[in-house]
Amino acid sequence: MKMKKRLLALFVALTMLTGCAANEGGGTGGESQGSAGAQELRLAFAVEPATIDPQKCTLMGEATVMLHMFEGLYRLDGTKVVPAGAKSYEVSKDGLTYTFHLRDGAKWSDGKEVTADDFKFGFERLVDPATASPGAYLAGMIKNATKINKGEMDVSKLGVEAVDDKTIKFNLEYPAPYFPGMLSTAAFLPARRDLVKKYGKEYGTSPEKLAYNGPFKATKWTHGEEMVLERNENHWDAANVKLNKVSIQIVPDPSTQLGMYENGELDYVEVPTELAANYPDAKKYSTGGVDYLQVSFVNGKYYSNKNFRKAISAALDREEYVKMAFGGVSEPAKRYVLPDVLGVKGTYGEEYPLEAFPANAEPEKAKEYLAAAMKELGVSSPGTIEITLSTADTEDSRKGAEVIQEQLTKNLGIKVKVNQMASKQYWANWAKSDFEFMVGGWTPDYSDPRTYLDLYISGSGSNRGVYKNPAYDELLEKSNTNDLKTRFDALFEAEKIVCDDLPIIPLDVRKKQYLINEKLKNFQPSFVQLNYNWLHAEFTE
Amino acid sequence: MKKYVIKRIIISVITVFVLTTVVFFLVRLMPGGPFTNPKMTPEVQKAMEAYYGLDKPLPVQYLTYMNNLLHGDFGYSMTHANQSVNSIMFRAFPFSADVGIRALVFAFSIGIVLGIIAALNRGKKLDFVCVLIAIIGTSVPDFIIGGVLQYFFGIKWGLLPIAQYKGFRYTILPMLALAFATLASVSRIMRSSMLEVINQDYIKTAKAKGLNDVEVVAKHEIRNAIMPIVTIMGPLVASVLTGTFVIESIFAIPGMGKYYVESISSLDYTMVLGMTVFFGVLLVIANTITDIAYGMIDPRIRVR
Amino acid sequence: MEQQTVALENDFEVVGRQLEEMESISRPSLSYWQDAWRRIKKNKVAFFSMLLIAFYILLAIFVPIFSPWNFAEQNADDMNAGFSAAHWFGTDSLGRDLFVRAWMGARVSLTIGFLAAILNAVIGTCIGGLSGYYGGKIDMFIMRLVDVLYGIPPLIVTILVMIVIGRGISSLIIAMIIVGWIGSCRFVRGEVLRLKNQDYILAAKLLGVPDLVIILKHLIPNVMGLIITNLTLAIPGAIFQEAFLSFIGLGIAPPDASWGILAKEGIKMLRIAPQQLLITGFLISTTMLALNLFGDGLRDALDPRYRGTE
Repeated sequence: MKMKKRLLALFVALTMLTGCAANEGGGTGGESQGSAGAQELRLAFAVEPATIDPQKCTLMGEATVMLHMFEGLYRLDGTKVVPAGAKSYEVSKDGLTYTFHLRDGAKWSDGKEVTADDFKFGFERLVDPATASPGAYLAGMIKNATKINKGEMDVSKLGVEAVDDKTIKFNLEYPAPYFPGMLSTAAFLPARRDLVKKYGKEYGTSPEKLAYNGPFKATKWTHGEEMVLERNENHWDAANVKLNKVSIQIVPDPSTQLGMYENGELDYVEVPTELAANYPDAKKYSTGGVDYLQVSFVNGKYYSNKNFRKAISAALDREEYVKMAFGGVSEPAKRYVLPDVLGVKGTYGEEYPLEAFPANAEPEKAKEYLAAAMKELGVSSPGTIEITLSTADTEDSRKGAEVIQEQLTKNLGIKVKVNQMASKQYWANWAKSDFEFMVGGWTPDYSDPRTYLDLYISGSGSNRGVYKNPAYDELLEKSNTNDLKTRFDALFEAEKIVCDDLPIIPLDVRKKQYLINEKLKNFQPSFVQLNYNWLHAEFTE
Repeated sequence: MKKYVIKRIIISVITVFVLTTVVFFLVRLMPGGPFTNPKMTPEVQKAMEAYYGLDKPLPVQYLTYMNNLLHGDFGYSMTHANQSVNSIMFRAFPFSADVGIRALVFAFSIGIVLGIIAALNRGKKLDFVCVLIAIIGTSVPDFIIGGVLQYFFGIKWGLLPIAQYKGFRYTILPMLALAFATLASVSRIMRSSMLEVINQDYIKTAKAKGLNDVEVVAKHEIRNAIMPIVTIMGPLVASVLTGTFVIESIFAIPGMGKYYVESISSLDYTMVLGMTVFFGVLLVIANTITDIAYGMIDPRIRVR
Repeated sequence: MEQQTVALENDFEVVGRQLEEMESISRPSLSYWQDAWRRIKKNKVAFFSMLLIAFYILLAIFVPIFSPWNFAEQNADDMNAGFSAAHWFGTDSLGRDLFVRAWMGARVSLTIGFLAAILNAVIGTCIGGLSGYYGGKIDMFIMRLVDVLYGIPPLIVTILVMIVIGRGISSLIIAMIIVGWIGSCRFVRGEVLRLKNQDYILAAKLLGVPDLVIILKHLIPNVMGLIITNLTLAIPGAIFQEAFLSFIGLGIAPPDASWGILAKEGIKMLRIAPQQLLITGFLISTTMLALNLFGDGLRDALDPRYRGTE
């Protein structure tokens, strides 16, 4: 039929039109270009760094990039903290004054020398309320920092002094032996007074509006697409840096990332937990996160009863939980503080072992605790107890909550409802202490047990469950000493209180599986401060 | 006609204004705020809120915002430090628009053609095939189609790029994933509409008059049947152009869709408003064009 | 000539004129709806589709009641299992029986899909019809209201509704309706605009037929075909919308299931246990297919002009 033919012609013409209207943008590719020989590392981030201005750093992704482009007084190397911008330091007897001597020959990418004033300015900028820096609280141990940040004092009163171009002095509010270790944090990176003045609000919004004193410098940043770092020849240790280029693609979807890796477009990728069974040989690393169930001591009828909390803890089968919710990649929590953090000489976990929680449920014990709790609370039967577990709306949350719901229902005979809500609402409720029972977690800000333990000090800003335990507070006070053994002993006792008194009920230690190009060596995924460390990474044949 | 267009423009501006006001207050009703974050102490949150002017009384914030808006200043994003909303939107929009336009042209042209073919061959095999394609399109969500296409054409067979948007070959899979559902709807609606029209008396008259098939179809049937398509085109274009979150996620396309969803979940007030205004403007433009098109296609309808 | 006249006389019997019979209608008079039902029954495909939907509804009601498995019962040792005699559809990633979950999910998805889509259609048709018919200022106002509503990010509306009303199927439906009626409203308005200037409408107006009657008895039935087609497209849309909301944690609470939630879980498991997505996809597609074909048949049956094959 003539008409059919005409229609067909129209059809074909239109499809061709669609094709011709194509925008033949020159593809810069990203496909395998023999990265090994060129020493070019190709990564993918799911979330683009929001900024490369260290004093505005919020997320680990940004910190990761910044810690390679800038250099603080100290640097994280594996699990150890080593001198970087500083070459040595002295600390006063009372532990309140630290004097650092800067390294000779350290330069910025534009050739200028790195001076003590650059570091001082970094700290000033960090606590200055006008900067609205999210990381300001980390500087809390420096004299007057908190007051300045609240607007009660002028920035010039900050306890940081540039004695001369190569010497910087810190006055602290209280003794903090972990202070040098914290100096490797992204928030404590230096900043150039002259450049911040020059670019003002635009400082750090694009690669050329900054100078870099780290092993790499940012050369290209196409928002939403990719960020490219190249070697900084002016770095004092440039000779030991093997990589020439690092390109970071922004790919939000984990499955897409996996596909790109398997296609040879990436050198490193993390395996989504549901596919864990397909990659039994993949390596694992601790992300530093610990998940737990948090209770409120001011809301809800049951949670302030210790036996009730113990009942819940005994009713949880942590091994089954990680198997079902995380594909067996994360590990059941045996204690609370991450064992990988630094201890006196080695890791805290080695020096102070603790097995507070069994991997499997103990239904008999759970029922006993529950019976004791019911007696104390005047409740007649488990079936009348109804609790609500709040959780956020992330992908894993729902599944995890379902498993917990099922375990508690089965092993205790109580009713459990799950209330899933938008993340912001979840955090807003937490901040207002407007919750009863929720799935929560914490990631470490620095490699020390205190980052996990400070949360439960009475009156602490992060103690939203409103837990009050004078014995606990005392132990943490006690740990404010220069004597490392005393300090860690006290922290260990504190941790034992947490595991017994259960202001939070630990669930698991987060781990992630990853795949890596076998030619790539010395690429270190890390659990604190940054996601990965590629400072000494190199491709070998 | 001119008076009508001017009148529409004025009303459109008022509409966008009302929309902006509603969303301005609505988004602040949501629990939490842009800086609600367990890692931010209350002092830090207050400092950041002050930095963005969120500590001022609500009416003041509103007036400041509207004033800036009139000058074309959408403010700075609250989650993407130091990046202005304008710069983010104008950088991301071309990507969404590119995928969107391709998908729309593809979907509408093929959808209309399929619908016509189906209607003209009603009850026969061809009709069933077209309907089947339409059913698959509407019963399979776009992210499944996207995921499946990516897996087979990209990963397994390596024929087309897996992700990103750097040249013509990169556009094919996202376009197909996006177009499929629209194509299906369009063909269904076109078919249904054509069938309505075919049974009308004036068609019978035209045929009786001796007009040949093609003329009947082209001059009378399509023209009348296309109205419902025009109806859905307006808002559909507006929403496709502002990007789809899912397709852009799967194919790592740096478009607006991602920011749209992300800004709501992170409560980035300025981004939410910026995108709402942008979308609102596109929408009213699309609707005005639609209404004018109504008048052009069918002279009996002159919307006054 | 003479031959023909003779033939006529022998072949035909003069019956005479009977006034009553002249006026009588030669085939039985059926009401609009009786006629529609008759036509649907004749359309085998549509009829079969209707039976399939009814079958699914029955399964949705009875399977969870009679199944040996509880839909929330997890089993760490039997995750992602394939088809078996114990588990007809296999198990999901938490070891729960998929067969019973699929039909529990059917309850939620079908309820939400039908209710939301039908309510949207009803509200939208009414408002769209009025807007298109009266035109002028009313039309302008309603259309601009529609624009404003359409421009509001639906996510915000949904979250706010959940906060005010609480969670559950009813608040989901309400949230979906608040913005959802716009689709059919625009549609119907467009069609009414097109039809209202037709001659038979003008004739009815001249005869003094009240506006409401014109809209209900003359305009709507002619638009009905498109409304129904739209409805059959809207139901899957409603089901997907519920799925999307469930994905981002705004849907029904765990451990309840819906087809949307099952689809999401199925996609995650695509590389390991593709049968999960296939099953959910099959159920959704066949439901959509059946609804579409039935909708087609319904449209044909309700169209006063299309007599179909008699």
